[in-house]
Amino acid sequence: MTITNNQQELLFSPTLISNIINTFKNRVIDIRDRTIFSTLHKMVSVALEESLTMKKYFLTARVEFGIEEMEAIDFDKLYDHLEETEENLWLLHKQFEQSTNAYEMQLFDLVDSTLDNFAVINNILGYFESQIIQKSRASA
Amino acid sequence: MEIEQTTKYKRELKKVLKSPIINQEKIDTVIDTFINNPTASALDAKKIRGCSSYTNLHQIRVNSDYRILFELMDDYIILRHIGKHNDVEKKTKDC
Repeated sequence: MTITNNQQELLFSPTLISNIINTFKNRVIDIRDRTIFSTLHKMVSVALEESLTMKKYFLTARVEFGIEEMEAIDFDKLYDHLEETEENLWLLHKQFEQSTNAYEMQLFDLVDSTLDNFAVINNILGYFESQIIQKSRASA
Repeated sequence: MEIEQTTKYKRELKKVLKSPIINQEKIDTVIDTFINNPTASALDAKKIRGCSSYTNLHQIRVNSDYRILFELMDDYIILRHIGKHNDVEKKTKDC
């Protein structure tokens, strides 16, 4: 499996979350509605699961990747997706941080965990790029 | 000394340059100052400690609001982050 294929599998799909949040912001939906909550919860859970997979993937890759494989990673594309999803999750985070509603508190914890992972992934990607630069210069 | 930039730095730079209180010339001047005189007081340069992945991470001051985070190698530097003081500070955690 190529790096590009792996990237495709790991990319987040932020558009759906974005649409839901926009609808939410327009007050068309109500978080206290169990069905709406379940949908949001499921989407954030998927983001968390994907962020954990991505984190594991890059942590493993730190050790196993050669310079050519590392250079094949499209960092701009990865950052585009990470940033878009992260921005949407921060909106949810802000929305629920003062909440005393049980559903919203549960969702807040999930969003919070997911955002922690995003910070780690960003650091790992920065480490990767630094390694690419150093190895490229060393082999030049 | 040569200067390298990560993708993240380039992306952050684009956002930072939209601010009216900072420009590319000022950033270049600050980096040049560090290269020629790393102890210049205006830079408030400091080595970042407690970062397990890096032993050579440094931070310098661009102005009262903005900071640059970079790795200092033997004959080049790798610019890693640029942004508001608090945002750059966060980047030094969990690394």
